[in-house]
Amino acid sequence: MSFRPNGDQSNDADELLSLLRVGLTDILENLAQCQGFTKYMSMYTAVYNFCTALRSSVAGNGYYTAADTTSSVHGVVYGRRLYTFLNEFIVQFMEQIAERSADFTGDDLLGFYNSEWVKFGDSTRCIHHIFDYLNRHWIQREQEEGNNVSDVSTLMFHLWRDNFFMQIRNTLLESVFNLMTRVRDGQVVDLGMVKSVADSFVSLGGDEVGSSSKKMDVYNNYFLTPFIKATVQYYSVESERLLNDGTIIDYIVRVSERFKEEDERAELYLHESSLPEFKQALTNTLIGNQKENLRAEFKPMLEVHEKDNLRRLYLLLRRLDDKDGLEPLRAVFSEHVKQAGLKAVEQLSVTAEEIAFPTPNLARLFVSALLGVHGTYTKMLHESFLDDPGFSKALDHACSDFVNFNAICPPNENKASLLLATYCDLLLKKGSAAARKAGAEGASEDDNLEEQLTQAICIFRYLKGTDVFQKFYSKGLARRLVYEQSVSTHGEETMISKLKEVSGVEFITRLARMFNDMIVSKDMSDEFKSKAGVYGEVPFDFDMKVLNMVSWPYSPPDVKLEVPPVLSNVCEQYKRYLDDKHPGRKLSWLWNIARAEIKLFLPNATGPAAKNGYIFQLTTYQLVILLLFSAESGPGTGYGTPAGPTLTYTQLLAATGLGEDIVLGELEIFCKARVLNSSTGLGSDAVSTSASYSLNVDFKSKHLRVNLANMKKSEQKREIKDTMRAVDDDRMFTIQAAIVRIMKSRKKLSHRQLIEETINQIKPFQAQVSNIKKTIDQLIDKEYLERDANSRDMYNYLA
Amino acid sequence: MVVLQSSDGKAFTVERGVAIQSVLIKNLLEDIGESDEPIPLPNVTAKVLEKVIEYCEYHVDDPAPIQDDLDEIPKRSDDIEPRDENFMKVDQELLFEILLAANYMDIKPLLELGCKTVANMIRNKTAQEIRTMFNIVDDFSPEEREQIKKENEWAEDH
Repeated sequence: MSFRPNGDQSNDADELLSLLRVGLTDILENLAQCQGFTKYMSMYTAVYNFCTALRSSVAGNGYYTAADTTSSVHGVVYGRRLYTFLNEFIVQFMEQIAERSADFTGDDLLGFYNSEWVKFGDSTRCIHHIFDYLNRHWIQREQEEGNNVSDVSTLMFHLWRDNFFMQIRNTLLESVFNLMTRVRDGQVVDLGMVKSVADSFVSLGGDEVGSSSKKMDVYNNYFLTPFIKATVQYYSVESERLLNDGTIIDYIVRVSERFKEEDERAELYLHESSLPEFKQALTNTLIGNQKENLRAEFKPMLEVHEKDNLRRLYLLLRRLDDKDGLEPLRAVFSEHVKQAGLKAVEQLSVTAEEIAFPTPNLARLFVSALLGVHGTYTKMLHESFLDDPGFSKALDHACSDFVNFNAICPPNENKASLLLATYCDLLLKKGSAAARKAGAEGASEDDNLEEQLTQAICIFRYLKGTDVFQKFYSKGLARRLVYEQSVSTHGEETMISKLKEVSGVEFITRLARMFNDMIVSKDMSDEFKSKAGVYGEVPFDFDMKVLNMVSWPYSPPDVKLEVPPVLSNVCEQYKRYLDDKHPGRKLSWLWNIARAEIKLFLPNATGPAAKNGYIFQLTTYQLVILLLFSAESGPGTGYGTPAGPTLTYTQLLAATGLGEDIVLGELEIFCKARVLNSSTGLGSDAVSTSASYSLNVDFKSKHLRVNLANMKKSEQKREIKDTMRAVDDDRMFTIQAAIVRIMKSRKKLSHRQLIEETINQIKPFQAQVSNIKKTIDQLIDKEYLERDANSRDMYNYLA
Repeated sequence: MVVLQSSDGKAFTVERGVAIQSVLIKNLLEDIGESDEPIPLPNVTAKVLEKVIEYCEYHVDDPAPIQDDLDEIPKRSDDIEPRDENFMKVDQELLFEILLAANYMDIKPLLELGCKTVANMIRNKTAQEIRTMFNIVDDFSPEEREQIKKENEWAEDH
């Protein structure tokens, strides 16, 4: 034995143990005061020496043997002896504490327990370190060999648990519950005590085998379960009393407060792992047992928009399973919104005629009714349902229903698309400011355009049959661009980019190209005018727009027109210019789209009209007719007189080259406006094939500007019909393409499968089965498909 | 600063970072708090403590070893840094006293260094050479010796 401090060598085990006994007592009883480095080190060294000196004394006369091995029988003996000593010592100490605790009850017991617990925790940490040599060597070896030995601090907590805690836990819990009852009854108490007790239960769970579930055993079994039971009991009583004394609404309000309080408190003193279980128990007691009653309150609340109570109810039922709690509510909500939407549309006063051919005013009323309902419930979704995704979905579902199908929009007519497109036209067209303003109450026009477009898009998202919207929107856009009626380029671009956001770039490609044509046309018009030297002067102001046929919803009119030389000259000039610039392009004249303005000086006019003349805005056809009445010479009689010529219907037909329908239509307008006089009288008699016509030299109008070019009602109707028909044609084509695509890849399909797949593949509208059937028959006729010879229900693809 | 006092009463003042490489000192400072009072080390002489402090000063900036790595990686004895190897070039008695002090004060890297040094000393030596080196009496009976030889046959060179 070479190295051993002098003196210690002769100490026998009993002496070391008695030193430790004194030190441990000091630490446990008064840790704060009894510590110094010297004392700490003497205890640590005593533990060390106890374990090593006694062992090495049997290690022969060599050096300290390197045989620090598990077979060192004596090391094991003395390690165990020290461990047993510590165990017994702590047991004794715990018995003393248990004895002292008997003097306390209620809050005093909690106080005693907590202060002892804190002290014991500090002491344990210190003792664990002082006995660290035992931890590092003997205990670790025992554990490696699988013996049931704990490190010092675990040992001490176990002894606390088994020799003190288990004896008083029932009294302790009673004190806790007593305290909780007082808290719940509204008294102010120290919740920190509950927390310390709960924490001590958690710390005591460090079980023999360290599986994590076992770690919480003590807390779960001895604290959480009884705690939950007591809580449930308290609230069962309260729940019954509340229901007896008040309404369900009162109950909802009170219980909501209770949950808020309990949630806050639980966070404070319960271990986080147990929060869900605790909350679940509370939920079952206060909500689960009343769920039918609570859910029944939802509809009445919805009807009167009680947003605070709706939120309370939502928050309460959210605690239940979706199936029991919110799912039924969402269904009620969805149905309620749908009914509100239907009612809002139903309440609009409209005539059957307006429903068949919607006016801009109806479009405005319709969209604003939809937006009103959508806005109301979006607000409710936010305020009362905290933007719950499920409720949001329910709202969308309802909106999608009532937007597309309602009193104005019967199934399969896509009227909502038409109405929304009309509404957009109203927003974006110059001169409908009043209508816009009425749409957005009290807000200034400029600020609001973007907001209103956003709202329009909001409805657009719900549309079924966006292809119809696209068709009508492009009609409106074409008109706004050609007649330069857009309220602002920025507004148009905003709308296009919003549509792109929702429906993708394909949806707006043609619309975007229309803008481009406008820019190019403007440049070309300027260039043409600047090259008057090459192509000749134009004797009046004019503007040419060159539209790419594929992008625009226009086609050249199928009419013959005798274009007056004054106009045809300019057309020729421009055509030469365009041929030079882009040789080979086919140019057609859209006479039906073009507009003209002429100044008319009437011999009998007075005042400003005499001086400046009347300005007439006319269609090309009107222009051609009216020009005949001022010509120097022509087919009629009376040229050269102040009153101008008189022309028969037949002469007009011959001179213009136009069809009867058009000429009669325009004459009707002229006569109605009293621009022309008819030989057969006024009103409905005025226009006939046997009459002759002359300029009304006494024409009077309040305004110097007279617009005769406005689209006639009948034309509007026709346009709607034509566009709808174009949509139908496009749809049939889309269906046909889809069927061919599907059959090409599948080769053979049953009727049912083919119909299903076709419906699934077509995006912007819901393909109708009858149309699909019709198309299949067409394709069989065209020999793209055949019916299978063996099975009538199968189709084969024919390459 | 922390004052460490050897068994023979000599006081060493060292940086806190140097001292707490001993887990014992680290725990003690945590439990009791720091003070100018010397910390007595009744099992370590000044001669040994000086060497231990020298080691701790060398290694004051070493990163703390990660426990998992220590367990995973097989131990080897040929990875001693030259400076540590020089540090361990002391007579046999001092070497063993350093080992004991490292164990007592719970300085794991130093304990490991000592063990590696001893392992290198006995490498490639016969049992008899080792007995001579460490002054160990051969107290096996002939039967025991035969038994041991049999058990360890697999390790013999052939």
